[in-house]
Amino acid sequence: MGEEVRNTGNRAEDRLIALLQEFNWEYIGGGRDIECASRKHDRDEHGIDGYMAYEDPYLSAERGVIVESKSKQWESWGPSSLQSDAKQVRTALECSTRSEDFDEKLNNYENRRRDTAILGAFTNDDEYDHETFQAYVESCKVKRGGGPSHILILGNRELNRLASIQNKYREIKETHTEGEDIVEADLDFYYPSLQEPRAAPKRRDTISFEYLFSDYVYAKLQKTELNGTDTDTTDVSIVFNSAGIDQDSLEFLYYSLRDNDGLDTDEVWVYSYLPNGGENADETYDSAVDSLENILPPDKEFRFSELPQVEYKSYAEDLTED
Amino acid sequence: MKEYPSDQDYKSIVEEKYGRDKAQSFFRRHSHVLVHSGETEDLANLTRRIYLGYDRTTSLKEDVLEKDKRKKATAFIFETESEEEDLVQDLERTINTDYQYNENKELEVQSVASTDNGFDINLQYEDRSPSRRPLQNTQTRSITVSLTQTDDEEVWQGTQEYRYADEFNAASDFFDDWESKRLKERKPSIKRINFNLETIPAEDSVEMFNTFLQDAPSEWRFEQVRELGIKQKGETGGVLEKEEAEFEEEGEIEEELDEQLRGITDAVFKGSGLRENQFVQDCLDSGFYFNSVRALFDGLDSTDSIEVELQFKQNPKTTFDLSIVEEYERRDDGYEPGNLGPDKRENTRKEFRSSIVDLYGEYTDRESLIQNQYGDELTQFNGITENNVDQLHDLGIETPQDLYDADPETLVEEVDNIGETRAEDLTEESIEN
Repeated sequence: MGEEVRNTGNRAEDRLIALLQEFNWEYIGGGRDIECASRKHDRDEHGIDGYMAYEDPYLSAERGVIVESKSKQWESWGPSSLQSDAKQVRTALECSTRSEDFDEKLNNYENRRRDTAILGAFTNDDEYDHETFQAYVESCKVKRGGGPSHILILGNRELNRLASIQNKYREIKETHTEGEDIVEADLDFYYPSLQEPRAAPKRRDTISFEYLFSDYVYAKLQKTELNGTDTDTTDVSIVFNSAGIDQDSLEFLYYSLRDNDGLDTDEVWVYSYLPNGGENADETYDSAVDSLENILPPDKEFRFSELPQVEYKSYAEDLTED
Repeated sequence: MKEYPSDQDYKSIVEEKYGRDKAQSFFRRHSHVLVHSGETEDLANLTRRIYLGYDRTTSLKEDVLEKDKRKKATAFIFETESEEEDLVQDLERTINTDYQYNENKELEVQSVASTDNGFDINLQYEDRSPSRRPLQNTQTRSITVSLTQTDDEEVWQGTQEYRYADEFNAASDFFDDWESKRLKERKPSIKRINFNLETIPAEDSVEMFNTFLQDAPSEWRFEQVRELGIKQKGETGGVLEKEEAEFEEEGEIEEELDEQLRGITDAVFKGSGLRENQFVQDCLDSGFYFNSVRALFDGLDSTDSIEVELQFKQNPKTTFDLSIVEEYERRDDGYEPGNLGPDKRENTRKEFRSSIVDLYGEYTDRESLIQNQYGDELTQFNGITENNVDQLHDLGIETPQDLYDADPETLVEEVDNIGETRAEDLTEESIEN
């Protein structure tokens, strides 16, 4: 029994790592125990299942992220079980920053920002209930001292959402950047500029930790195609929208593009994630899009579509087999 | 909202209005991110790098507007040799003139009103920071600061109720400007001295918290400590390495505190027992002091119960906040959400506030406090840094008045980085060549 549970844990870990790798995060290592460097953690060692890194658009150094994944039946999830997993990840993260052992075994003394961990909390049967899970998350404790340590908890809905975003991103990449007629093409995530401290806008093929829970995820596509003997260049702004699709929401989304230099393109493609299967979504979408008529600049082509949904588990399992 | 708030808009609303605890709940609820942190700034910075849609942005905005109940009360000491009449006249002279105590904020005195034992100053200003337009509309705000004479003729007690940090900051700007204005006009100086818990020995501060809880204002009876906040003394780093290993960071000690709260509640009940509690003793031994407490009080003449939070703060505001964070109605089967109503809420907050002001006065040595403040105040002048303070002290310059009275040529010669223009600026005297 113990053996079986551990296997499930590893497969779950593999899936989450595969998903993040597909977002261009680098897998550095894992499956190691590191010495605990805090007496308060009540343990001698922390098991680190996965350690990954990515090039952060706004940091000068890479960011190292502890990645831990659990797969349980719905009835095994509850406030205390989630809290205890979240605490385990938090303490492991804390020790990753202060344990020499971690630097030696996993980080190889690289200069990486380590203030972040991801806890995959996957329900492996059909009983997952989002609202209840939401309540479990809300009952998790946050410390009001030290830090910062960021722990992102990904339940089924969020995992599905991220898999869907990635699936679409990959599809756009395949369709629009790889083909006989394509002379030159780039698809990147787009990170707008920030004020004070200033940061220039960046294009990266890597998703940032923050984008994993951002309502809007921006990307930009630029492609130059053969058109007879000429070439045509098209610039496209892309938004993966996880917020609403009513009129207010779409209007606000438009402002966010306008005010974050997202309209310097020929076309704008918006993909909205509608987790509840989008009942009546088409109608809502259509009427909201119609109502934007007076706001959207007429010289640009706007395409609003629903983000096609994929199921995280099978999607990520396919990735692990690639 | 006809525009998308900038990263600075989000940052400042979290930093100035929302606060750490609410931001932590926000991220947990909306983003499923647990942000373990002691600093509001960490939370504020996180908002800069994500893009929130309409619903979440609206909920952030509404949460801020709903903070009404969390009105805070603060107090400070105000010291001057001037008579009340002079002070009032001094202020009244600027009413209906163009004089602004802070030009960016259009900070003006609206009126000065006599009270039983002092006077109230009504100020008006524009809450306007261009960077946060979309999230917070520019608006004219009024605040009232009350000054009440104490037994010591030259010492006044100042109090202010406020909801948002900018209201506190406006009052603080007002006193800063009033002080330098009086200096320039060669009037007797005034001084506003903030409450600073670090000036009280840690053991005394424990006593003070203990007394605060035990001797609650008449109608209220202490029931339970819900939360105790602790902080490590700034200057103890390094010295206490051995003990530090035991409490690696404030967060961990807080976690242990959660488990110790029952014992601490018992300790308060047992007279002056708080100090004898082993855990409290361990904290003190390790260079920690208590800087906040949240406790439950039952009303003796009613079924009302409240949770009061007392928080001493350091930078950027050296002060304390006292707020009623929860209101309950006691039923046979426990505590239900309740409502004190505005009048009782107001009075209760005031009673608790004066209780801590009195206690603070008992435990603090005002002389040393004033001394401390002056060091800081010098660095508030343009061009004077921490490094200069010692050099100024060597010249016998301790207060802004001393600086003003100083000989500009001496400043140029003796103090690093003070040139002729700056020296002339500070003293308003010209250097003859």
